[in-house]
Amino acid sequence: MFSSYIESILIFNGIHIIMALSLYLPFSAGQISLAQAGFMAIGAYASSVMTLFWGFPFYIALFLSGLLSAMTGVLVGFPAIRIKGIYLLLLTLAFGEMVRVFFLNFEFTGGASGMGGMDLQTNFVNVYTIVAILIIFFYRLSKSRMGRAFESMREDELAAEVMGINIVKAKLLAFGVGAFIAGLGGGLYAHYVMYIDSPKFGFLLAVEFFVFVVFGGMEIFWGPIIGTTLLTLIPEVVRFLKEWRMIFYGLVIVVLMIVRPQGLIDKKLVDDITRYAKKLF
Amino acid sequence: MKAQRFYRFVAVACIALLIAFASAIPAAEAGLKGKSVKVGVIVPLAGPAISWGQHSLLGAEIARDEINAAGGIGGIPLELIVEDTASKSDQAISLARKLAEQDKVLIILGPILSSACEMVFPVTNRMKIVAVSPTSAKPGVSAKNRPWAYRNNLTSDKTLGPALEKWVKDNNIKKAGIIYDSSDAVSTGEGAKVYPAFFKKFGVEIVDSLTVQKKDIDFSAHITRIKAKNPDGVALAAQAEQAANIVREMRRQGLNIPVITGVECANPLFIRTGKGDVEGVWTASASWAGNPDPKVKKFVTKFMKRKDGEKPNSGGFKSYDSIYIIKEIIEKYGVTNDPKDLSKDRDRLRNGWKNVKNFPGVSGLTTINEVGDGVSMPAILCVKSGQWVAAK
Repeated sequence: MFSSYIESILIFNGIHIIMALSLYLPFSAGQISLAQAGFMAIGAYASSVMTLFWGFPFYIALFLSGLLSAMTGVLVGFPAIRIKGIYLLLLTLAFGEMVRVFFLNFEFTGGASGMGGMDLQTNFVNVYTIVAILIIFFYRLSKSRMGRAFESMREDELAAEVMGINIVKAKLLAFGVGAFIAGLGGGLYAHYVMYIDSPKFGFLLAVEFFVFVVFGGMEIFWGPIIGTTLLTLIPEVVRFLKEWRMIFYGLVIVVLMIVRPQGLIDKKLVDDITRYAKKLF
Repeated sequence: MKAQRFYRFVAVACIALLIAFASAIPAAEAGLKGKSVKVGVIVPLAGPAISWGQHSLLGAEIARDEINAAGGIGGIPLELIVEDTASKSDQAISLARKLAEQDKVLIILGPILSSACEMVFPVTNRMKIVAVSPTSAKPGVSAKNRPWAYRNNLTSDKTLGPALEKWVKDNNIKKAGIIYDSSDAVSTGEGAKVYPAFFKKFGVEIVDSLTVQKKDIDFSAHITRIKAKNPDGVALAAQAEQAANIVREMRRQGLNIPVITGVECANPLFIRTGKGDVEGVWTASASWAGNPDPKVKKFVTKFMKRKDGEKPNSGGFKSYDSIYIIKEIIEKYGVTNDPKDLSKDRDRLRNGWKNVKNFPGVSGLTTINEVGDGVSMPAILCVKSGQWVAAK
């Protein structure tokens, strides 16, 4: 369909979209998380252990590693019930680093020398099928009771609780499902690059996902999708700028944050587009 | 009947050979087709691995400029198409595909980091294009990815073996301690595998093996513990700055025994950090910038002029040599550079790399071994009045 160069950029883009959506889910409930790189690492390592050492079929391994990641997500969600704002940021950051250091020293998965030899299982079709499923999921969520609960929690947690929303359940769900999605992303990543080592899943990666979401906008799930796609493609398109391209990348983010602090895509924009589109047809 | 069949076979074989020769010789003499010979380069030009990337790239550029000034390869210039990974190993996957498919390069020089090699080699293997890393030193990476992956660099076990043997013998080491950085892939390889294996071979008892982590700054507890075990020498494996600080702590506690470090330390940074305390420390390196050989001197002078007086690390040496090896293969193996022959040319380059034997370059005589790693005589170095010199 495309040249394999374009295809591989699109596959990385798809994996990044999955990761950005995994961050967006707790975000949409007002929970800021820098732990997504850690969940991704759990998914990547767990799925690789299952396919490589235990001979599980890829899709089963992918699903199970998502579940494992979700369980860890719920565990991280427990302290998050009482912790808010910048403290939560710190807690999730610390968790992400814990995961990284754990895999750095865990000999079973290769320790510092990493883990390789997985089969190539990830391709354009399965990555974007998962992206499509996630889009449907997030669309349905935004129209559902839980989605609206998330939204009210983001705006005002106390008011949401007074209105009768079960904050504990909602927070754990947001963290757990977010971690599940991140686990899927990790499994897909591991079976595309076919070699993983723990420095990859450090704090910088978590910040990268964070930037994707903030850049695209956190009001609606189209934000992280568009934001990720733009920020993944921009450095590739401006490759001719050589050493200056990362500066260009930074500049784009700075300008956007000044012009549109709410992110590129917000609810109003989506509503406007839908209205315009309805008028057209 | 059988004899007749045999003669017929011989005749056919002779004709086939003749045709092969006839087609190969004019191709080599008539010069190459196309506008330029394209070589892809994948290096990190930002991020933590930047110095390896810059040195390797400059080494290749110096070789390119020399070749083009002398008339190019087969009458056409050599062109390097450089792609930057920004030290993100997974980016190298897309870049290798871009170079092979969009730019249609004959061969790829790189990637630099072993982790990037682990990701790229399976890809280049599938695309049937040679990738040659001038720096990756983690044992076993090319062996896993036959037949298209090559590394023109000594793996850390091959570099350190001769140095360890000499170090043990010259300093009469019977008991040794090991300290290594378990959060670094290269250091862990050396500290957990290479040192123990060679010490066992040379009959040295390992009294203790301790690990440190990147960013650790206080090593007093490690040294106190090692000191209590009373070893004859200590083998270190850590990045240059950290290793130098470990040596300083040893000297501070009055532990004045011989020290040998891993390949990460064979650079000026180690001496700058360690000041006078690292005097007499040994290491091994795939190349040696202080080599008095005129060919090496000429290269080092050129390199220093273009890099503000900085001496090349082994990446510079090995990529300079790699470009010359590529030139030799193109001339010897009848590469045509015809776009129609791209896959055949790539296969010729693969065949050429397989058969590299005693290539005389600035890093000594290079031979590619059966698993695709370059083998050359490593330099055994020690610090003497603030310089790395050959250990005697």
